[in-house]
Amino acid sequence: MSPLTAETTSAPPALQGGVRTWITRELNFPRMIRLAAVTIQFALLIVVIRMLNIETKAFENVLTLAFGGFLVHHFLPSSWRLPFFALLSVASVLLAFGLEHGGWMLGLGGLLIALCHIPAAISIRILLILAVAACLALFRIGPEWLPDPLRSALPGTIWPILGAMFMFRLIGYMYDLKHRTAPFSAWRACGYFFMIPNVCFPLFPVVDYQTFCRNHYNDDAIRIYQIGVKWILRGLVQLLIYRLIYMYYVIKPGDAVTALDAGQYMLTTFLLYFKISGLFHLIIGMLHMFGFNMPETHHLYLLSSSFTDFWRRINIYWKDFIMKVVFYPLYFRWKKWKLLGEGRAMALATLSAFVATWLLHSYQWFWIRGTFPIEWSDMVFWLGLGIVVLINIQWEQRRGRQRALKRAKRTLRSEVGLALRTAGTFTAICILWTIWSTPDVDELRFLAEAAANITIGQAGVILAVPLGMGLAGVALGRRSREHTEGKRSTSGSQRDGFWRSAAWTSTGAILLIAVALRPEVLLSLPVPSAWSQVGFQFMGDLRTDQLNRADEEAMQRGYYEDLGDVTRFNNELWQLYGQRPVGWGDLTGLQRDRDDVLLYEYTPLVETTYRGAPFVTNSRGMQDREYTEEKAAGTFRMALVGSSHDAGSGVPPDETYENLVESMLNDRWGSDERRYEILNFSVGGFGPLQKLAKVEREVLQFEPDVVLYAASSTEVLWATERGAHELLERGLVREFPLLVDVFRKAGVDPDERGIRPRVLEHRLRPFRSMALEGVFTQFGESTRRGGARPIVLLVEHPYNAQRPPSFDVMIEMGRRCNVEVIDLYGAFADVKDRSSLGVAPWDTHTNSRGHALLANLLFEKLVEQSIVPTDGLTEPGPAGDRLQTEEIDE
Amino acid sequence: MTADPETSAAVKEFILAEFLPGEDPDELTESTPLITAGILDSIATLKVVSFLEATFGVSIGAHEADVEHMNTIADIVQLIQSKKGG
Repeated sequence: MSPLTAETTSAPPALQGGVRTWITRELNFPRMIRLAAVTIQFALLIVVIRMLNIETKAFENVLTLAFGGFLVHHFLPSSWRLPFFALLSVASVLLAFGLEHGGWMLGLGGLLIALCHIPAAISIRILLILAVAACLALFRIGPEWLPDPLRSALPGTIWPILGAMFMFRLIGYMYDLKHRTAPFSAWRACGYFFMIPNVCFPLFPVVDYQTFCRNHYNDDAIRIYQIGVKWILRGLVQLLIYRLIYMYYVIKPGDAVTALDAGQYMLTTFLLYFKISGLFHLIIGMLHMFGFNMPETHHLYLLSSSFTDFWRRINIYWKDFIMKVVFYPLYFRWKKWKLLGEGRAMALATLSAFVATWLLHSYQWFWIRGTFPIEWSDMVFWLGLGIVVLINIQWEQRRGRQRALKRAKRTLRSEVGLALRTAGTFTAICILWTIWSTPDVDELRFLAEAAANITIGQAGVILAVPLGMGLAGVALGRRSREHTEGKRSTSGSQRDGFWRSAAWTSTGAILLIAVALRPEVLLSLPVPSAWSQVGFQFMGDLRTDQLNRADEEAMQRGYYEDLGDVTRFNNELWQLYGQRPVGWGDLTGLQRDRDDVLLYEYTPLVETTYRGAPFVTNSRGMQDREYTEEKAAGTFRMALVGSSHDAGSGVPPDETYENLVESMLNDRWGSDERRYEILNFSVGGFGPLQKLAKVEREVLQFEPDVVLYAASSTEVLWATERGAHELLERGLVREFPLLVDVFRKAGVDPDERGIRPRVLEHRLRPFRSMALEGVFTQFGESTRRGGARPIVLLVEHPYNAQRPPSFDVMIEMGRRCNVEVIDLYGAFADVKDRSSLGVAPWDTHTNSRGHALLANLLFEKLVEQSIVPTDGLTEPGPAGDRLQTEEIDE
Repeated sequence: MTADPETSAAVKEFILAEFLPGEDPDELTESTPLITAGILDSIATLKVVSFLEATFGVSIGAHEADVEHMNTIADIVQLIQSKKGG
């Protein structure tokens, strides 16, 4: 008999039997009421997820599919449920990925499942699976030498999810198949691997096949569902906490100045893990809705009282997987070796389990990202954790771990001990987590320097956090893991437990809906106004799905352009960059190096595609129309110097705000005697120093009447970050006397070489305002000397959901430096969804519609502030001067 | 398959002595969850395995040191009996 046909029923006796028994049991009034309560809770939670923009649109669709499937599934005969779940899971793949890509996933997955069950020895099957996996890995990498039809044969979007479905589960599945520890069938395999909602999550709990089969409806169905909705809500709350921390409390290591900053970095770095624990609760909760009574994940892991306790609490799906396929097999083999014996075998197996976790972590990222990262910080974290867990195990073996059949007696000594152990474990994990998440040694040094900068008051605040965790550990840490089995069940297991749980879950969901509908209620809560303000702003920001300030800056800086650091810890950036086509943003051939302070420039006369739009440069290397150097009589000439947004990256040449304004001016007031020109000298990546150099060395030769210096919200940041390191390495710092002053103030020798970029950035950071003020002053003086009017143009970008504080800083700076400022903030005020203004979800450069909005406001300001000559005619023309931005967008 | 009172008593005695010193023996029944309730963690499970192998002369595989075979005293007794062909 084929293993696939060796189906055995797992339905409990209570669910078997005739139709009459089933009707009596399922369709009685109290039970229907309970089912209705669960259904209402599930529906409410779906509304919350949609309203608060908690996850992707794909997940929302899959969730809706799951909701419909849930009701049908419940009323099906028990033998139909698994096939239905499998079909629903397959449908979710097609719903999320479409027919073509979804078809590829199902086809490749089907091939792997089929290989598990071919009538051959298990070793042959494993070899065949490895061969297919190697071929898939080759496609995943897509090496240069692979002929193009093959390289692009498989859609790149499928890998992270296909990987998530098979990379670990296939190992456990083969293990169970070898030992025949569970029933096997085509439906089970299909449901297990394509398991709804895996299609939406590249990071997914490693659900054990044996548990998947064993726990299916192993308890009362409605009790299982109630646990499910409760965990979904718990997951939502954790995801909201994650978003709150991510949006407002994450800081960069380089920004840490005091011990409090360093403590904040360490704490928030660890707490960002709420993203994973929240998602896992959500996922496991959803599986409960189909009767899979899976174990509780991430059980109060912040309150662990030892390292072994942490390992047992956090991601138990991973722990169980590693125990099953690494630890136990190695231990059972090694304990028979006389040289080792049981004690050494256990120690070696424990360390091997952590080494395997480290390597499998990189293996996971290979399927998600296409590279196999070997990072020293990963090694330190996993081996460090392995060693402390091993020490902890030895300690527990000698001292004995507290276990009890009944609630243990509490004494003052036991409670203080528990609090201190919890506080100590929390602190140690925060430190390890910080090392893991901060692979840059310089950044760790910045944190250490900041941590040394401590006052007594700060020490008190810092100590209060772990001690607070210790107290929470005393209050809650002894709670046992929730499950529906046995007497320890806490939800729905007793007569009134169901309704209590349902009431809590419903209330939680309704409160979240109420806050989403009327966020202003948060302002009237009896809490400090700063908290309610953050809550109110948070509810607004949740809808925009924006990055936090640090990540916006990182995207602006291009730190993550190479995808190097983006994915390991930053889920938000990973989601964005994960969608980005290969070659997006590649400047090869479009830009060439210079050996002076400008560092680089656009190659003249290029005509190609860049960031999804035509990229055209004129004979002078401007991303603009053709102009003569000599200004024709009657021409009012302006020059614009900015960076990629201003150059028009990702926008067709005629749709940049600069060209649009030029056309608007000529349409309105142009004639044979009067022409308006705006020459665009902007170059992608230019910082303040390069813009200044561009003005002084090139722009003024073109005799402009006005020079517009385009500044963005990152201008202050870029004053010392953009170009400073390259200038230092090329020995060009002395070309900018203002920069020499900044270097001296920062204690950096302007002639020194070999300083690492992040170290220089960190040392110059306190002087960036001084540097920008120097740039503005010199820009004003040089431009006026060249006979033109200097103006700083503050340009709003799509990601500036709130007015950037740097805009007000620059307005004040302009006043001090005697330079006029045009403020374009507010250009996008009427746009509800600002993400619609980016050229792509993974690229925040302003698109054509955004450029048109900027052009409208710039045109108005140029006229209003009498910057362009209008011969006294400032009233709108017959058709109005404003561009129809919706049409342009289309 | 009938339960083996001697095996059951030996296993119970070992678990009480090794992991639950001072606990009321009556609280530990044949069906008390051991792994899912946290009484036996992975290392404790291995100790039980060593005890079973040494005491009953059976060989237990890595895939059997799990919740399926060792979650209760009854499960453990059944595992021993199946190994002994009982």
